[in-house]
Amino acid sequence: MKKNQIVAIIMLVVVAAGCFISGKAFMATWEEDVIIPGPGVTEVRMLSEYFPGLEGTAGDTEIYVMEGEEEGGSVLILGGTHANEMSGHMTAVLFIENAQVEAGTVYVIPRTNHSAATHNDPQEAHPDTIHITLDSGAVREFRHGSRATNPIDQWPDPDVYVNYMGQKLSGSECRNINRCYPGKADGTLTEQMAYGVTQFIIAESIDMTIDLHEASPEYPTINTIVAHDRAMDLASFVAIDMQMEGIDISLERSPTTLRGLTHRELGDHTDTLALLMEAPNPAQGRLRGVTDEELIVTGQDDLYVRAAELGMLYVPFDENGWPLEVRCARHTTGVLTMCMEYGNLYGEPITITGMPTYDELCENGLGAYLNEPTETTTEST
Amino acid sequence: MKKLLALLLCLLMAMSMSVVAFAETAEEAPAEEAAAEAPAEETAEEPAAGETAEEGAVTISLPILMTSAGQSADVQMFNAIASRSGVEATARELVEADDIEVGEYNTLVIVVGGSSKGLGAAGIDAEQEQARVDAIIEKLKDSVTIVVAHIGGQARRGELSDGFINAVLPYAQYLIVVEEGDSDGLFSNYAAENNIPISICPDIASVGEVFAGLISG
Repeated sequence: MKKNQIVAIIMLVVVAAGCFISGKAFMATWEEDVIIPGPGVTEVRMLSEYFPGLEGTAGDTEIYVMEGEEEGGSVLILGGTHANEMSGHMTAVLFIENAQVEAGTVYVIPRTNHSAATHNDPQEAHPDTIHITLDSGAVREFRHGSRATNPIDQWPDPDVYVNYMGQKLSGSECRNINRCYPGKADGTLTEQMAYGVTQFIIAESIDMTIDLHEASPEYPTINTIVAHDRAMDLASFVAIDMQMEGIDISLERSPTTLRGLTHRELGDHTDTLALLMEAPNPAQGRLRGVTDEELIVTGQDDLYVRAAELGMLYVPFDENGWPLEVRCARHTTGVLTMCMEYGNLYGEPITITGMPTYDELCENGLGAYLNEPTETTTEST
Repeated sequence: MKKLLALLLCLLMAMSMSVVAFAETAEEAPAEEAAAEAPAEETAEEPAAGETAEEGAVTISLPILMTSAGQSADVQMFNAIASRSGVEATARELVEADDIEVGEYNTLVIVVGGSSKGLGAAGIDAEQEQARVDAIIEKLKDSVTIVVAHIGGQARRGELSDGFINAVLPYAQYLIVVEEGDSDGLFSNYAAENNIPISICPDIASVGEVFAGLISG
């Protein structure tokens, strides 16, 4: 055999090995992280039960149902609308793994845009996963996804996206589910996912829908509740209650001119009271330094401390940053307060126990409130 | 000699009275801190930091109209917390001067705080919002008591909010401010310089009771 043939064979083997390793890592991102339902979960359904067009697609997703023994109101918690906004997903997981419902019904969709959880944003240096250490020392892994649907599932993007409500947006927004509501049965996968959520809310007559998000510290709509017009009274009491507990939070009315978002379209097209919460995450911002798992989990960034000193931010930012447990504590407290005030205002209680308080989450971290993985749970998704 | 002793005694008594009076004044000196820490009821009943002796001259009575200057949702929050304290008011964040009759309300509460999202939601810009508020003030200023409230803290300060604040302050007959939003003394200094009564509340929780405590009739 000639020398150049040997070199060529070696090169082919090296390239094949590279393709195999990178391909395996790429395909690993399609696997869901493991959620271990707590005793409060009474049923798990699929979104495709409400819109069969999603069955067998990357847009189908689990709905965890927690039904109380007493009658009451119903609430839907949406995590993972944007799969890179970790406190939204993790707060949903906390409810699934800890909450026990005494009155009313709680529905949780932890991966609202299921496809977005199967990849992450290119050129952002975001990690694929984050890890949370439990009190036992065991480590739970959670997927850090993208803001938008995976291009494998929906491609190509148009130059300009005109959503169902006729608003013109940049082309990539066609894969942002929070610009696609109320959705379209014969639309793109993202529009179909949004349609599925809308149909689910209508079918189950969901009283209140809470969409959990994160934003960059330099974005003005932050540490805030955004409420549909019909939910403003409820949201006012919630904001006051949270401020009385020492949690700095503001309130914004859902703009009628910004279309396709949960807090606007779900309120307009269904009877639900639509609310959205934003928590600060430096990993979402453009002023951040090193982008890695630590930034997402600790929420600490020296460059944001500097930016705060220069008065460039809309939230306080010191060396403590905004750790994931604090972001989740804000969302958890917000959801619980919304449920309490819903009962006060409408006489249909949604009573949830078993959830950690704001202080407990901040002091003990997420690891204290995530369930222990077993062989069965680690193998199943 | 007796006259000299009597004079000396009088002088000593006068000096001791001055010392006692000075000591009492010194104990009251940190009024601002006291106002910040005081429970809401105390803030309502006793003069708070920056509050002037003319408080009694301002009449705040029902019916009350609340509107926004800046389209933040603080007007809804103010209404909610006032309602919780037993004060029923009409909150109309986008009310126009033409929609209001002179004599329809006795008190106008302008809750200031700029929100770009709120302005966007209303489909107006800052200039249009200011024009709306100016028209309401112009129409009602002779028939109502105007209360300016700022409850949004630092989040409702900055270029957008301060523009609305500075535009409505000259018409304020009473100020209600959550302390965090007055960290630079904008409200308390204005109140002191212009002899306007002010209630500085330590937090939003105390605003309702402070406001309820001001209502007469």
